[in-house]
Amino acid sequence: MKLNGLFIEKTFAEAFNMKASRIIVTADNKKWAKNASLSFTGFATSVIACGVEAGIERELKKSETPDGRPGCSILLFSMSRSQLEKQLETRAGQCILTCPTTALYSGLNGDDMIPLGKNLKYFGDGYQISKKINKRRLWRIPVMDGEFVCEEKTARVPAIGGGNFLILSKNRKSCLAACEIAVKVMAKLDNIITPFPGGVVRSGSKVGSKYKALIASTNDAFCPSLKGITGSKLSSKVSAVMEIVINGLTKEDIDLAIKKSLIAISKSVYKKDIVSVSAGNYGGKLGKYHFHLRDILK
Amino acid sequence: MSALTFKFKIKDKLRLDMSWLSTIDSASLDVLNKKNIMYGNKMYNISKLFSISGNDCDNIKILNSNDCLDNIGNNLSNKVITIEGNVGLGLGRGMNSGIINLKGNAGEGACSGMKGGSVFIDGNASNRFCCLPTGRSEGFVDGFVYVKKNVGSNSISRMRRGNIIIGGNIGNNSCYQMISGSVTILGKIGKDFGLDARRGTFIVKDKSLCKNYINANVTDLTYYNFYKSQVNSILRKSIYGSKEPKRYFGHKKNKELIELFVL
Repeated sequence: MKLNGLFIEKTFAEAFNMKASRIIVTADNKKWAKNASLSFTGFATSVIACGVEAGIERELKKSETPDGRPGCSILLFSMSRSQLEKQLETRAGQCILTCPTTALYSGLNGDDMIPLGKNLKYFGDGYQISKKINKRRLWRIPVMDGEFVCEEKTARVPAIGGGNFLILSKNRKSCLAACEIAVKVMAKLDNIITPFPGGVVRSGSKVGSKYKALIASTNDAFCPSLKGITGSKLSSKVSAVMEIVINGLTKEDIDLAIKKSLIAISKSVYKKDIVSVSAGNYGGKLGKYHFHLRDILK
Repeated sequence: MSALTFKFKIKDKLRLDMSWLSTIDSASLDVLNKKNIMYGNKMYNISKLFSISGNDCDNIKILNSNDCLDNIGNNLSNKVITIEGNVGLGLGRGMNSGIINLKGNAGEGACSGMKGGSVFIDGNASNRFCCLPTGRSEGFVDGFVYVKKNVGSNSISRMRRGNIIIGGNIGNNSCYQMISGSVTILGKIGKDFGLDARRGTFIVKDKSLCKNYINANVTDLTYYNFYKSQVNSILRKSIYGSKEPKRYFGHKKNKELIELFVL
């Protein structure tokens, strides 16, 4: 199948059940909301070693936040409830509480609630104040620049992690440029994040390793330098592959992200250097969700 | 389904206990016409006192109400009650959840011991509004109450949590022994306000309170702005204005953690 001349391989991305939560960080200005959010979402690329996958979903205007200040909404994904709770509290305590002028609110409603400021309140050493309005409980913790306002709980919802596609290109420059176009398009969409640095992964992995201690290792079938050595899935024209991993709240959100990204790439000048678009899967045996590229683009 | 409507049709002014309204459910709806109620010193069939129409027992309307109808919304859970006219004693007393819309004035003891839900009073509320019910250690436990006009004396005692907004004045001896929660008063404040209060937030226009509290000298109004937006969204109107308030924190004499925003 060709999309505006861009070849789409007949394959699918395989994704997994995850648990997600959304938080809203606000600050006196965009700069500090972004500082806190970047700090919070740092070292949160993959659950393999980071515990949680997190990213800035989008920047929020003053009119979109609970306290009328600029902010960011952040999505976090984890494989387990306990890990999500732990990472949320640790990161909120070290990255948001510490950042000047910030406040932290829940960005999701639901029945399954997990702590947000519930334990952070103890930082107030008895001077913290609890407030409840409209079924929302907040903690106000005195800090050196005023007070840190933090909602007590946020919701946890079922979500999907690991939606992906691979750009197989004749050169690295075009490969990266095409990925950047895709990430830019996805940055405008709600309910998804691309957790890797700049939204792009160059170290796609396969399950397992020749070394027993490792649960994942380099995806040799997609490494251009190993084309002549391993069972490569790359044609002779391909000299760079990059992956975009998408986590989303629903399958439809990830479908839309893949579709819009590929359409944008297919309309770009870099299309001529792209050999094909593929996707990462494990034969369909591990993940519950399959994203068939050609079906999504129909 | 249409709202279950009770139109009061008696002109005599004898007290009438309306606490049975809160317990109406679909099962009791079928036998409602057979219900007998004590009015004055006699039992009357309900149809002698009210014209009844409609069948939605979760959405109740009272028309032609007057200040002798007591205990409307007593221990209410998950119902919406709309009242046209004044009401007597104990409106929404011990209410757990649901909504009461009163298009009139409320008698003494309105919203006392309230534990949840919302009450919107279009007129005035009499003395002992949001007060401590007999035999209880906490007064207003939780919920949201808005009074458009004035509130009487001895109101809001031992408030534990929740939000009370008063559009007009409040009488003497109010907010006694406040434990926590938020109270907004946009009019004048009577004598001995907030005596022995331990915690809580007051948002007021009356500057007479300022002398009792410590000027916090902070510009952080994050919570105030959050609170303002929540109240505005509940009331669907802006009541605080755009001017930044001055913040006071801590009572000068006893250093209790009471917060005061002066608009």
